[in-house]
Amino acid sequence: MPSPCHSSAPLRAALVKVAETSFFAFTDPADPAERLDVAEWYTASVRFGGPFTGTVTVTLPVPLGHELACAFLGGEDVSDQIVRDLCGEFVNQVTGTWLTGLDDGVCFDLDGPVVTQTRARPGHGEILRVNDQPVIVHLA
Amino acid sequence: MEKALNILIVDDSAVIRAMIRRAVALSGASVGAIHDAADGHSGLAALEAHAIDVVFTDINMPGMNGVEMLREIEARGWTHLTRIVVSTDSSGTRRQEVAALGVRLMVEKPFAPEAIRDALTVSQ
Repeated sequence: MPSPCHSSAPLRAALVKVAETSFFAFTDPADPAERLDVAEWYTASVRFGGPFTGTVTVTLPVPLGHELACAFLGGEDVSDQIVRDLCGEFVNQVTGTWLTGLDDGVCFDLDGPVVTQTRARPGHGEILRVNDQPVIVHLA
Repeated sequence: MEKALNILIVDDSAVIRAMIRRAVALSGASVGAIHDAADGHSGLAALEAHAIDVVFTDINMPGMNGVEMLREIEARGWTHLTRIVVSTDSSGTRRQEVAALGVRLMVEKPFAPEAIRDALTVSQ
């Protein structure tokens, strides 16, 4: 099975589905020239293996992580550890949704997600807006 | 009167365990004790220690994954257990694999809380 890295549309669609279904968030397309003026980011990555291998990374502003965690768990006060766990689950669901949609006849194995917090501006990737904040998704 | 179901939730993500626990509590189903575990080994230990009726399990987990745990449940003959898979991996191939291991229902992530309620309703 060839890697579908040439098309980012299915991965973008997977992110929209996860954000809207699991996290009760609103998604919109972003201007490609969008300025990413965010003080701090969560970067969540999942490696997958199967007919082809790769890593999906989702980068989102720290405040958005807290917002999504509150929406997901139905509370108003969540710990940083829970937010990190949620960011990992977010990228896990995006990756699984994307891979399942590629071919119904094959299975992939996903490693556990890795989540880091950084002040560095995100590199390459597709930008979307989730609850009016920038989110970057990248496949490598 | 419906029997109160004892539930086990097996997922390496603490937020997913919390979310399923919350969905179960809000489901309106008659629920007894709710236990949870972060991988298949801990899940089997919980099944040995408690009288569980319904197990919700993820597939991709470190250590013993969900499929390996389901194989062990089959091997031990725990046929009374209602097994529900909650996973992003809902490909046809995976569905066939877990159906052969006694899984009656599959909830695909991402899911709305109603999907958990519906799965529990079918279990009762």
